[in-house]
Amino acid sequence: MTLSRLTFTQLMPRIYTRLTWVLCFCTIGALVGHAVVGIDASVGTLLHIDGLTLIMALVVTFVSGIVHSFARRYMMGSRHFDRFFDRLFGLTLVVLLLTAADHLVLFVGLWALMGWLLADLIGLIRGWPQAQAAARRARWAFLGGSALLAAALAVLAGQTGAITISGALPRVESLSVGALVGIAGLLTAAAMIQSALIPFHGWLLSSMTAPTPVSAFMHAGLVNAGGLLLARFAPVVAEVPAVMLAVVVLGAISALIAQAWMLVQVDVKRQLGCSTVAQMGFMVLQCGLGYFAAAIAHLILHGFYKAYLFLSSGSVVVMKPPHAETSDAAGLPSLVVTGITAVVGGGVFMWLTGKSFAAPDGGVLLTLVVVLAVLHAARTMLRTTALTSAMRAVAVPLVVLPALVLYALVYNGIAALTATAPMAVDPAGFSVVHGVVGALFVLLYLAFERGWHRGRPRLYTLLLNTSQPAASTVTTHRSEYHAH
Amino acid sequence: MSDTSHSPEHTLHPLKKIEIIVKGKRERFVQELLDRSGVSGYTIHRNVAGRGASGFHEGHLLFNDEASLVMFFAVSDQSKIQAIINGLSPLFESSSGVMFVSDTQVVRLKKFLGAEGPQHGGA
Amino acid sequence: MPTDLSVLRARVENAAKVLGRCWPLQSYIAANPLAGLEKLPFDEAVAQGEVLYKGRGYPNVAQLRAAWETGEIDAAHLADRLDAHGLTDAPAQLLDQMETAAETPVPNRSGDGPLNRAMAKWLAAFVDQGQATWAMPHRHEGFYTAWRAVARFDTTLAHRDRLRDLPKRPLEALALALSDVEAAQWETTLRYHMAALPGWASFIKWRSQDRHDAWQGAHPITMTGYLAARLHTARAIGQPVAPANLFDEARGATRNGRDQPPMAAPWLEAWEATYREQLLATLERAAPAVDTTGVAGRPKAQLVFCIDVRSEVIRRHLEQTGPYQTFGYAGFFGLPMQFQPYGSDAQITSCPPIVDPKHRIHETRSRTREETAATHDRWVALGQAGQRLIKSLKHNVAAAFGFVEASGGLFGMAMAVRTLMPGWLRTQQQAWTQHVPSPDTFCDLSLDRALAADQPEGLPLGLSTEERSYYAEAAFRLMGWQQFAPVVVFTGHASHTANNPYNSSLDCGACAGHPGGPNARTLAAVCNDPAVREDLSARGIDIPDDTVFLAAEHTTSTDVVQLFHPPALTKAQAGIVDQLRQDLRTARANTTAERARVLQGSRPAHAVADTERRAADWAETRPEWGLSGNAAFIIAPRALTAGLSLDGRAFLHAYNWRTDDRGTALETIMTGPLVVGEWINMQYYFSTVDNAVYGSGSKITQNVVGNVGVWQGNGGDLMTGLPLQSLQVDDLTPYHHPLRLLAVVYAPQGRVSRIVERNAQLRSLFDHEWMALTVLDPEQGNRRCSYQPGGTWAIPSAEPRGTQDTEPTLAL
Repeated sequence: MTLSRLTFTQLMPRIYTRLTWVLCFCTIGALVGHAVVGIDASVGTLLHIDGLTLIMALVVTFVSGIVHSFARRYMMGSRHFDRFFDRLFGLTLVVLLLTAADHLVLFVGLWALMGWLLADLIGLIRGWPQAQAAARRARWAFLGGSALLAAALAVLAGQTGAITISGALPRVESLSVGALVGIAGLLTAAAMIQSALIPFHGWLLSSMTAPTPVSAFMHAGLVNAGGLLLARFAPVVAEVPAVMLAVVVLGAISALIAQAWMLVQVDVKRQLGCSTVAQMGFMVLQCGLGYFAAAIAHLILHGFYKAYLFLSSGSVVVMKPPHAETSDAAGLPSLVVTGITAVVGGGVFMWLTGKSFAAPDGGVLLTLVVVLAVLHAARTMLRTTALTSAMRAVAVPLVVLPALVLYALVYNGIAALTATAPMAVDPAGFSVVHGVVGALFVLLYLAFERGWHRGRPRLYTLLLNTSQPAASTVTTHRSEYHAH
Repeated sequence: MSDTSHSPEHTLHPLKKIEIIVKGKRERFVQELLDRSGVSGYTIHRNVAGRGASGFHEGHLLFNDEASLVMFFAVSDQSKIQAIINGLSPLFESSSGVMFVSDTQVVRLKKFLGAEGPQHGGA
Repeated sequence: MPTDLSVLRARVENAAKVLGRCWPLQSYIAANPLAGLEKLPFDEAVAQGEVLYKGRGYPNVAQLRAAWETGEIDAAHLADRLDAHGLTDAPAQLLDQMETAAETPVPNRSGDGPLNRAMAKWLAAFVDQGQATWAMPHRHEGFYTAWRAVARFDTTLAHRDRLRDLPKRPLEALALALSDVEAAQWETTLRYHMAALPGWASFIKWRSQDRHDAWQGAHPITMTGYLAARLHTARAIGQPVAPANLFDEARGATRNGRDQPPMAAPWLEAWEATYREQLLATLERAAPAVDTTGVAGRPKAQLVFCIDVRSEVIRRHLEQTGPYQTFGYAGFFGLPMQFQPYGSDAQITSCPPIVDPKHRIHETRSRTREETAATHDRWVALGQAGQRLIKSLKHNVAAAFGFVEASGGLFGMAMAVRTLMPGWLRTQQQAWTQHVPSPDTFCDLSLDRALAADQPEGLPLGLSTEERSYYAEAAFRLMGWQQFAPVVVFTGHASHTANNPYNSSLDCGACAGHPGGPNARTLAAVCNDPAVREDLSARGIDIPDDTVFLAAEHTTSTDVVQLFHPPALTKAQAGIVDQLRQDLRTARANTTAERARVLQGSRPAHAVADTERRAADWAETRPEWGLSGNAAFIIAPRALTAGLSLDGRAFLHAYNWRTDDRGTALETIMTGPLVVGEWINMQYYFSTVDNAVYGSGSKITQNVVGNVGVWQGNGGDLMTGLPLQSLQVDDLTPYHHPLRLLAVVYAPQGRVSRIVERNAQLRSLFDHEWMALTVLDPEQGNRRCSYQPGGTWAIPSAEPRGTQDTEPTLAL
């Protein structure tokens, strides 16, 4: 029996992995330092390191470190082992620099480079035509996104006369509404492409040709760049309320449609892909509400969640007997119990995250989402007949409270660290649009809980068809597949 | 056998009998064919042994239920037996197996003529 | 039934014969992807596979070159085989020629793309076993009906108006779709469409034939239904139902005019001859010392392992630790049963694919151990409630957003622990397992015969005394058992791996890809039954009163052998069991150290810890080598192979020719376990020679679909066979040597000959060179006789020779 004929030096991958973890620890140090001293650092006009930079850097280096360590075993034996690590580490550095980039040209350049590297990783398997097609598709999407970003920043530079982000942002108030809407529109579109929001989701849902660790890093790190972009240029986007409302609507569309897509997916990776589109939609919605710190908290926590689920995507195979699908009509008492639990949960959430009970703003939507989650958790627990009723009664607060506290810690930490950053804008006031979006969330929740969707083959077909990957990226003949 | 007590001589009715021998893995196909053909019933013998064109076939094997032979018997009128022949002939173009059709006689005709006509379809 | 419909039905059946069967991931049975072509000679079948599936049937040049350069292909054997094939060029030149020939691209089946995509989409949606929250509507009415209900709304079909007013029944719909096709072309057309998505089609073939699958019962799919939907989809896309270039006509073109036999054939034969010659020479040297009379001293304990090639290694190391005797027996222990684990409503079929299950065995809580059961139940209920909560929140349209925020931090921590500290995690898991009692400590197996009240149409519950005695007797007769030690352990096997969709491919193949523990426990309980012992005694099998039967499970990923909760033991027995436990630990250390030599990055000194890490590590794609390397199936008493290192490449079935005058035991072994061995061998063979068409590709881009299989990347055909990481050290180097199985039987040649003669299936497999057969005849001075296709036997002219000799054959 022979051992590997591919000569793996393992040297560079090991160095990259160590370096990534060193970067991660340095970031933690810097973050602590920043929290204590509270001063930003600059490197000429190129870089500007603030709280947002450090938070994003921490997430990127942590997820990248995990992916590096994971892939050193998982990718063992791959012909593209070294190339994979070169790209992965390169991508990590690019994203790190992007979080700190201040010079507008540098920002655009890094953005484009990030897209190019990511597309290359999607097509890591050179001999597989469908992987190459997926890479091509992503590359065009990113090229388009980079062009939109370049246009936005060119207008911004032209209008403000500044060549850095930190120089331009203080002057946006002096810009005309037309210019602001134009820049914000271009920026939002670029962010939507990067975060794979509808209608720009195609590249992401066609990207499963990427090795699992690439998907983990992509869904946990790289789609987040859209959120970073909006947060970085928050003053531009937040200046015109109508733009913010549009962002809320765009985000909500992705959140609700993609979450519905997820229901009909049968393969684990596309299911996760649809979930990412939905979660990114929600994150953008949070931006549109002016809760940029909440958006950043969301993309960090979602990153952990999604990276975990991708890395463990081989674990789903379990023996299940078929069950008839049921949707239960809950009795009144249990409805009251769960309803009260949910409202209390929402109250705790508002209190923990410092939202005003007296003067509600767009944050009501965020509370609403928490209320729905707690409501659903409580309903699920109450239906779990395997547990004793005493256990069920204590289980809900026992699970929900620590989770809320954990979230509040992250959120308040981010809010504190970015308190002086330009993204700390005031949340928009509550408007009719917010009300409609909130109502949609509740309606959809009720509709699916009551089983309204069953027996609707037309809707089912529509959801399945609109969430298909690009035709050229599907391996319809096994003889076309190639492992390396 | 209970309804025969009074008549000293029974009238015999002519019918057709079909015997089919196939490999164990075709049992399902043949069984479904008989079910759909409208015959009122049939008999199955499993683990049949014998020698045929492709050599000797052992009957009962302890740890292999796929390699054994299965034999079917059915009695019905000409048209239903013909339907079975039509549905089997193409199979024997590429699978080993045999069928024999012969004239036979039965006493209780009603028992052998299925109530409904031929059926087809399924999931 | 109208004539054309009944004929069409037979045409579907005929066309489907070319397909193999593919099982779902939960019971991933090893099968030959070309099983449907096994009645053809091997070379013709692989040529058909080339035409039908564009699959390669012989090792590729790189694999042959590597084997040639490392000496795994012996020069003399190669010269002999090349000569036989009339090839005169030098080996190096021939390799170069093959390389050039391989570069000529095989034309692909063009134009099928949109149709394949549409069908893969609906098939995946239909067969889904609980991955989607919202399942395909109308699936309980069957595939065709469900498809008909949704296809009307499928806006990707340009001519979907053509789908209006389709017949309700699939057979009629299929006939309608074929109305423009000549009846003479039906079979060819249907075969073309089945071969278009061979992965999905072979999955349908399995499912439509399985009588016991609960999912098939709830949502039936038939080949006819699939074809009806496919052909009408073709019409709705605007594609002809019968493509102009049906492959039967196009055969000449697709084979590139290469009508001479493939150039790789002599190389494969020489590779096989090299391995076989070494193995047979070793066995011949050992044969004179074999004593089958059974007068040796009584061993302390006897352990029965599965015939699986992995058992060979641990048996050898265990035997070195003390007075133990080991046996090889099919790992389902001869019990054709379904098993229902405690607390589950799943019926697990736990016998080989060629055997129909005939009994149901349930694991039920024992009245005397209610306390332990309650502890177990509490923890399991909590775990299940947690999982259910997570799944429900993850998939909810509105709750998912809040859930992600609330749980993200925990997922981050879990990710760090699993990636950075897999070894530590393993220790924690084990501590946890000890904390929660396992079902065998508080459950009994429902052996008592009872009517299945809950499922009147299901299999009968339990075993009658007569049936128990029958299975026990079969076991001892087949293995040629001569005397009983105080402790006898039936050892099933299972694999524990993390994050591995193919875990079941590493479990016991004889138990249909499930753990072998339940069968081992059942047989042990049967043999401890006094009524059974009385019966057996009457039939000449005397089990001493001081003999106790235990069950154990060998975890192949870590080589731990864990005894199940034993019955009451005498002091003497308890002493033996204590010593055995200790010796099993030693055997484990030595086994893992031997395995460490072929696991990349592992070192013998840390072998135990390394296998533990591999078993628990979610980043590990090669937790163990499974049955990779398998190349021989030895039917002989252990005395023939004891002390020989067979490198974990041989299935070992115990057999004593002296106790089987009529050959019934040998016949059962050769028609049962040996045939299953051939299935396994062929799965490994074809997955290695063409990992894309017959294997399932690289794990790193696999995507589990519908909880039943995997597809690659964004979807398409279902991947069957084994993943690259189960077979290859890296993308380019195979670990598994793709060799066809050699059956070696230690028995009189005449007896073997008669068995082959009267079993058509066996004869076909040997005659068509799907596997080979060699007999070492103890009645003729252990002379070696090799079966030749056609039914003759070749006997080497001289005494055992070195590998330099060519193989002169002498037909009898």
